[in-house]
Amino acid sequence: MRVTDNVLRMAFLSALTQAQQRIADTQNQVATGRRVNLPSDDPFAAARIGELDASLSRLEQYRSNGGLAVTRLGLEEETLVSVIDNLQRVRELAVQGNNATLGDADRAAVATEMRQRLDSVLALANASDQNGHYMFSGYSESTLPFAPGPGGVSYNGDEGQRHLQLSDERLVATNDAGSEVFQRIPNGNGTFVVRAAPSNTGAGVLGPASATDPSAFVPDTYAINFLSPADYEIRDSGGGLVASGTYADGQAIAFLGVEVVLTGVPAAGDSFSVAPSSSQDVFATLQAFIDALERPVTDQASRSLLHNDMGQGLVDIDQAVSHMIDVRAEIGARIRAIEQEAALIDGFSLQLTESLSELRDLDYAEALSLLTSQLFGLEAAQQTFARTQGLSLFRYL
Amino acid sequence: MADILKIGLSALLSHQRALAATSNNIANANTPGYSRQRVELAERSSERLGSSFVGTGVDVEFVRRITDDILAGQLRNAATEFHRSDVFSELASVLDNLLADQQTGLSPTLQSFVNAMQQVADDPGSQSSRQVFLSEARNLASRFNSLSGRLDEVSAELNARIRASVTEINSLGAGIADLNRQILASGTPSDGAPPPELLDQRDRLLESLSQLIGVDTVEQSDGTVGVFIGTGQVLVLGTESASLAVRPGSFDPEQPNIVLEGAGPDVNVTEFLSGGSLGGGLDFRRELLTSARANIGMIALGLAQAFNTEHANGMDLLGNLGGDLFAVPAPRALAAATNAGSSSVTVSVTDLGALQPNDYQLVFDGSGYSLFRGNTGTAVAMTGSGTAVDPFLAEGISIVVAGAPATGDQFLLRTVSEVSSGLSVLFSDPARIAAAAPTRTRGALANVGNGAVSAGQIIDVTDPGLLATATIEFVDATTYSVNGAGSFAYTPGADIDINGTRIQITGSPAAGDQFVIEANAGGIGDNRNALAIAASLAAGIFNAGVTTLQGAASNLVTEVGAATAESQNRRDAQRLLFDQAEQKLESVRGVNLDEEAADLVRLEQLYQAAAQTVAVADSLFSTLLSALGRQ
Repeated sequence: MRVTDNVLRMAFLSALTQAQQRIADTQNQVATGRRVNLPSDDPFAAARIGELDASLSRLEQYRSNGGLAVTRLGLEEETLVSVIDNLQRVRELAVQGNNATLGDADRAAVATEMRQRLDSVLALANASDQNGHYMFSGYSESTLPFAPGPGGVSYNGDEGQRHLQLSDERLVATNDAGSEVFQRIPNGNGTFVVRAAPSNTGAGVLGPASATDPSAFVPDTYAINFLSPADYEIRDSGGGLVASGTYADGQAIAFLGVEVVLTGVPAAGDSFSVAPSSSQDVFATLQAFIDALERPVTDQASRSLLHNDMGQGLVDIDQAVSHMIDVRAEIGARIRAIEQEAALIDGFSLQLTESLSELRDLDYAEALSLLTSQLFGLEAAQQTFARTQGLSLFRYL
Repeated sequence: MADILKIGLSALLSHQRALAATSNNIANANTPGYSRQRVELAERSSERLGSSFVGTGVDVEFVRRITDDILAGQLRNAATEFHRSDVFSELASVLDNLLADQQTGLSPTLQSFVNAMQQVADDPGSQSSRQVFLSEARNLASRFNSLSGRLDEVSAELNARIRASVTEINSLGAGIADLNRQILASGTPSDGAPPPELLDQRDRLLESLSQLIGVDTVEQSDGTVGVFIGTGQVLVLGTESASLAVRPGSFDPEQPNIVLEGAGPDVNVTEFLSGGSLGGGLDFRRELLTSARANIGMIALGLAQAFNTEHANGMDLLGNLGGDLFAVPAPRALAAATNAGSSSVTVSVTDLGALQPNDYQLVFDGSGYSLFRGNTGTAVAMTGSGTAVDPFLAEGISIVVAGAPATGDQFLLRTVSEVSSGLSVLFSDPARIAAAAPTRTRGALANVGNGAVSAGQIIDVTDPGLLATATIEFVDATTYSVNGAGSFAYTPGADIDINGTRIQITGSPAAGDQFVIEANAGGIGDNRNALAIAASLAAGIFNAGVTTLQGAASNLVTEVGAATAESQNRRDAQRLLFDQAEQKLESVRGVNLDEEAADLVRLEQLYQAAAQTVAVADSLFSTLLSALGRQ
């Protein structure tokens, strides 16, 4: 091909433009530290980078959800620990108050502390979280959950449980409704509850009652009626006779899988009831202690009533404590689940970050060596051009 | 001696001419489009001298303009292709840049929005998380608005380019016709015509024209050149040139058409034009801009519908059911300005899962309506009869036609392309975010069995009894009644739908146990609907539930990125071909200064030699005179 001056110039200019463009591209990559700066640099990588970025951001949100859930559950757990402490102190006080050597004034003192404990438990049940929302009112988090009234403490919240998202599939509950924590506690031994009639006049005091065969128990309210200090009969709620027998102090009365131990001598006409367990709120259990302790003990009947109420109250408070411990264990399990999920998220995030870096980040060593060779190429082209431009025949004319 | 003098003079004159041509070449070495010239010498006819012939000197036969029409044609083709891909890639990289931003791109903004919904779910009673969510919603809407705003700017820039190109094409066409006229007037080639600079100029204009638009040229026998564009439409013929004009599109003034003005009615040549920067711009509008706008619109529509639908199932802090958060413009049917009939068309989007990212054209062919995709022109089958009761259905859209159409009537169905620009946020009161479900459930405290009731899910928010309290009471362990009526068999975990709420009861309830569905009054801490919204925004929406919003955003990035990368590769390849074609032509017609220097030396020597012959003739004459004078 004939080479003209314009051909030389054009070829050089075109080579120069392209070399400069390549250098600018490499420089841009080095400056940003990224291999892919525009979708057109690598369309499929760019789309994948977008997806990975979005996934990482989603995982970050899940991690933050988990953190929040742990804070909230931690607060609930702390509150429950205080509740349990209070209930255990109440139990000690109840044992103390049930002591036969105490006088009315001593029992009143015990009742006073118990009342304070009741107030503490009520305050804990009405506690707010870090955002000022009630912890134990379900969805209705701005409604005071527990309000004392003439008929006992009433629950004004709902049974709502809020869940937070820990991962694409996993949700965790971050609260427990007050009704479930403080109210839905079975009384008695969980199968049935035994009570002495307040009108009893004898010295019969209820001892341990156990369900020897829960499957044999037919849920109904049964009355153990003493016809005389030594004879009793058991009738169901319809008045039908279930069993009858003779009573000996300290000997178990058994029927339908129920075993009730009485001590002392009941009077004729005394009655004890056996009813299926139902829910009893913790405030009612505490209030029952206080009521029993504040009743003056004047005769055998009132003494028996005190011991019967305190004894059954102790059974109820044991149920309450064990229920609280269950709730606490459940919270602990949730926290552990969140921590496991957080560890999974960490691992997954790391993988995604690595993939992202592989797709997006620049191999500096490679880029810099490329830049060096590109600069060298440009310099060479420039020098060649300068040299060939100097070669003109006119210089020799 | 007179012969020698004559011969010497002829040589002197001829080489003077040749030197002049060389000087002209040197002078024009840098002139764009200049074709080098060479003086072609020829012997003069010889004289008969007895039995032989004696030469009589040299003549300038003609001045040759050295170029190559085939290479010039190749250069024009290469220029057309290069400028087409150059403009395409330049415009495409604007979109490429638009979608590239790591912080403000569509994908991160969408994710921030979903995250903000999660934050509302984290603490639905908190004003601040609700405020953050609303500001993310506004941010997202304005992101869509600004994306379509940028597309509008690109479109406006493109239109300005189209107008400028058309003006330039017209002036180049007129210039070529004018040169044709001058060339025609300069006489026939036998007179040494046409002047080379006219041909150079015409070649230059043709080259400039081919950078703007693909042209075919035909050299006529009279020396003029005919120029044709598109599929053979005449731009220049002889000394006449036609002119192009830009006219507003029949549906949309922002999509102007290019027409060829002539004696008859204007001919719309938009679809026929290809190549050059004008063709590149039109291709970009057809292939990428329209599609990007439709894709973005479809994502915006999917977002708005998915959010609003799920939000409507919830209850806000004021106790009302969730209202629409996002407003989108309704799909429109635009009648072409040329429609002669009186029919009207309404269009709506009925199924996001089948929706395609493009607008449609509905055409009445005299007997029935046919539907075509706006971007590709592919025919789409429709079912139904087009009445309100039985509308036309195709690809997720529903079309109702009314009135009497005329044959050839056309409608443009804007299903998605206007959504992104019109997306807006309807409320700014954080209390109106419906994070809670309108109903909740509970088990009665007196329940003896261990049955548990699920939190409940809204399946029909329009149920008139939605907020009424419903009590499920177990008659025995396997049968329950609702509000004291009926007798239903109990299956643990089975769906129980009452008043638009779906619940499940598990475990073993005992006779007399009660479960209640009631209005979620005061349930400000409930986040069930917020979680449902977050889940629906992450779920598959398009493409029969396969493609998520994020997926659609990724697809858009891939599509634009791939188109840009492809156009850049093509541009680079075309640039190479263009450079080669230019160098090839330049290597034929261009000036090599060394060559000219050598010519200069050679011609100077020849001139000197010719001068010597004249001197010799003179000396011969003197010799003769002096010899005669002595006698």
